[in-house]
Amino acid sequence: MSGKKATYTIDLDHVTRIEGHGSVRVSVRDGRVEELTLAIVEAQRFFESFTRGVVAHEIPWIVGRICGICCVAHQLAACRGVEAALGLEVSGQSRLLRRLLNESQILQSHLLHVYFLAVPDYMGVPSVLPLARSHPDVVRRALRLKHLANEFTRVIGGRALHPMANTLRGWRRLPDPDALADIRHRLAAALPDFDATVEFAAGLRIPQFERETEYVSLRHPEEYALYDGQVYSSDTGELTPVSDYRRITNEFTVPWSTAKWARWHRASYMVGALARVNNNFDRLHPAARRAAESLGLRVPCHNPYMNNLAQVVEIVHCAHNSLAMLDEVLDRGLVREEIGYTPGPGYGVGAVEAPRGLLFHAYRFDDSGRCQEADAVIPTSQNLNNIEQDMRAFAPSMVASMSQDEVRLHLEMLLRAYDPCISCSVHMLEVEFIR
Amino acid sequence: MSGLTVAGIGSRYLADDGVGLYLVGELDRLPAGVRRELWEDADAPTLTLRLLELSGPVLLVDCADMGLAGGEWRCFRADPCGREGRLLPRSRTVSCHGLGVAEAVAMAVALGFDRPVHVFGVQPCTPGPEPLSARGLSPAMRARLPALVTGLRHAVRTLCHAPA
Repeated sequence: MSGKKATYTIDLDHVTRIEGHGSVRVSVRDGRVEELTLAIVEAQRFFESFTRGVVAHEIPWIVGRICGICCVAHQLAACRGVEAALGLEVSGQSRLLRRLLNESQILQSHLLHVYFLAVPDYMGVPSVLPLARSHPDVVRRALRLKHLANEFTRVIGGRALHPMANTLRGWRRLPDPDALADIRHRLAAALPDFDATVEFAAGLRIPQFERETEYVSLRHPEEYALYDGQVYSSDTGELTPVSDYRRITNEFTVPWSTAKWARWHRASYMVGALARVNNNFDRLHPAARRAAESLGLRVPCHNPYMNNLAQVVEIVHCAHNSLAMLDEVLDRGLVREEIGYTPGPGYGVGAVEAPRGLLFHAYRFDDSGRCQEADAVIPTSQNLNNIEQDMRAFAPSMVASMSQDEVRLHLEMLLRAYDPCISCSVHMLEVEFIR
Repeated sequence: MSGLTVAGIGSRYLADDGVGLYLVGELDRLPAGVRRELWEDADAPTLTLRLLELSGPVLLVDCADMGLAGGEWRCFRADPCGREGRLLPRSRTVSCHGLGVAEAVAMAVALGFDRPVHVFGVQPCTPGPEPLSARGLSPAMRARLPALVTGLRHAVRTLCHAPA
């Protein structure tokens, strides 16, 4: 069926398989897109307010609760912001453990998103549940890898969810060396599963839509930047200090969204896996670069649907890079370090790459060392504007060539490709009794 | 019914959500052939893997929204063969945070898990999770614990005498 000359309205009210409530409204009249908005209707979270009056070392644990999926990233960004404010040093050992912790979480998050939330779209099923019946080997592999990533986080951070071992300056309780050796062994043993993930993802048919945008991520002189670096823009090729984050994000509001939006050198910008791979391809582990080649991901890539495949590339990177870092930790051994600090005044900004993209945290402390002011700019709020720009760019050609249902599906897939985390929600078991 | 596993599910950091962990932790002098496990903070993929490792029936002890008064409990068989109640997987709205026990059971069943799944569900006394402030059970739920433990012991004994 052709959408030409058609008149209809698509209301994607509460798009599924994303975090939180986002709605897309498209009005088509005589085959032309008259209106398209991405509405965000989540209530405010007020986490920044929770930190007011709080002592410095409690902040990372509080703000980590912003998200159950990105808890490590929020905790690390907060640590870095507080440490910058108070001028605290972090040892090489703690930096290495933090990088491991962050990569373990990126593995968790990307595996969950790719296998459980994105793949069903490409297999023509509504969720992972029917996929378990039709492709049990794929789902069993996903379960194995996700569980391994959970265990990886638990070994490094003390818990798989909301790990508490990391604090300002370093580790309260160091990882057990035997557990480190065991997880290293299990990660190495899982490499065939990671290879199979690439092989499987290479068979997914990605929609062919391209729109060049500004790609923004951290960049580091030596590493594939996930834990630190300066902010790199693909538009300028320049590096900007993290402390200038407000000049980067330029947050603004739109009437149809309760979330703030962002723009930098042009109308919108993109953060996340694709932005990172585009900006830092040369820093990827060689195995990840080979994976990108197998997946047909050539940089610069301007197809936002390819963000799913960029996540697969990062899965491979994190697996191999973590193995190398675990070797370093095991060779070097871990020693208990001084993590005390003196509370005091200061202002600082920290940034890390969360699974979904660049994450900023900023804190100001008064003379007594209590937090006066906090600000967190999450990746999804930076991406929302770009998602809507993508939808506006792609919708006319979708409408011209696809049925209404296909337009609906492709818009949902586009939103999901960004892996947005619009809010965090906790659900209890729902039961229906048969009477 | 031999080989029964009684598994407590939930998080101690989410108020009454952790009631299953408390209850299973209180179980002692279990009938022969019954073992207890605490699947604390386990996400859906982990729960699915745990279920697939079992060779016998399982009783999941968890906080459950069943439309009852706070602290009331129900024990029912919840797999697709269940006649008393069923878990409701969110097949379309499933998300990272929305993958829960129902989805884990559905995934395990889809992957071939064919053992009976029973649920000892406890209606929370708190209106919802309170992740920042509520470590431990609510006072109302704590007051209900003795009765709930008695109910759980009775449920375990009943299942042990039930045909497989």
